[in-house]
Amino acid sequence: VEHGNTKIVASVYGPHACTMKSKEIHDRAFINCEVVMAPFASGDRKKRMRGDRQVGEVASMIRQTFESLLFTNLFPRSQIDITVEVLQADGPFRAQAINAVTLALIDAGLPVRDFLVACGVGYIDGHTLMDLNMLEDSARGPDMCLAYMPNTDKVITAYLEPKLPLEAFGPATELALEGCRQLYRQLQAAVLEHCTDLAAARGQISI
Amino acid sequence: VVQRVNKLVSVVPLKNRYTGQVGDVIVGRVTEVGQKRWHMDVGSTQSAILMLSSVNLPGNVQRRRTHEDQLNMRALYAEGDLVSAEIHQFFHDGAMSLHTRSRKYGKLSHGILVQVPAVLMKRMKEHFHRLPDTGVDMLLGSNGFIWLSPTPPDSARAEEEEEG
Repeated sequence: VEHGNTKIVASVYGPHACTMKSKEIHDRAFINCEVVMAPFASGDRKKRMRGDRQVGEVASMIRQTFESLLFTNLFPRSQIDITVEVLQADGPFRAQAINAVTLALIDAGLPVRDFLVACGVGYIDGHTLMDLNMLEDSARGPDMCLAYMPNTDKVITAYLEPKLPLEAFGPATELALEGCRQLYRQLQAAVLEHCTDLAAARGQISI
Repeated sequence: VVQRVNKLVSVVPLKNRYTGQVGDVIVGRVTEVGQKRWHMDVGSTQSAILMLSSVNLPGNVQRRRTHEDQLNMRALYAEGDLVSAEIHQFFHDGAMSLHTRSRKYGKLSHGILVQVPAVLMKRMKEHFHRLPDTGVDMLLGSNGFIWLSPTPPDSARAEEEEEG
């Protein structure tokens, strides 16, 4: 996914047999999520350690979000690996990571309840801004990420840090949802194009 | 892709892990030797299981499996071996149970494994093919594991004698 200057690669491997027997759940699939940030991703070159807490938080957020989205009870005793690699991060990348993982899951053929689109919103000096980049993020204002299912009109995950004034919460949410809807149209079109190409190449449909 | 047959609507994904049917011939790789069973990787959502009672003992003896047979499981198939087998049944959680109860199934050696996406494999009656001019035997596993091996020279000569 290339979202402006943010470039993220998400890959899904599975569902396959659990590598660690202790993690096996007898009636569901176990989701294993890993987020890796390349050292050249942000402004200054920094090689991050494996147990980086910030990045680990994004990983656990992605895991919880997709646990409710995937039909995990269709794959008992198996494991789904989600790997997110951030190649270039222009500001907060949570939303872009979620979008990338959604596309990867759909491409892998995993049954999902709905498309999941995410959008980031910030609030600086009384203005709500959509989709912050690094310059806007360095103002250290509130940063909210909303993950939204467009067809069922439900918000799955909302992440906010640090604090947002209450009166700004309403407009910020509205802006985020509007951004999600716009993104959904683009993602949907991309998936449809890709699937149509694939099915036509296989001779399953005729254009 | 949506398929409609009279009133049955099915949505078939374009990419999928292998979901087999009873009777499919597949090729699997042994990942683990367990208690009276082998765990095999067949490119599905779970490991397939090959029970000790479902394999032919060396020498084609028919007897009850003893404790010694259990200890000698590795002599038959060790970790990393490729085995051709047929799907016998499914466990209720979706795992496959395989069997090699025929002379044409068993350990594969002297050849190359080619893995293709399982969705591309067509359902066919014959899984074992002999490519005539190139001298290559082909085993098309329904799970996308294709095994290519050289035609054994004596069987090729026997076929030529049949034709000639």
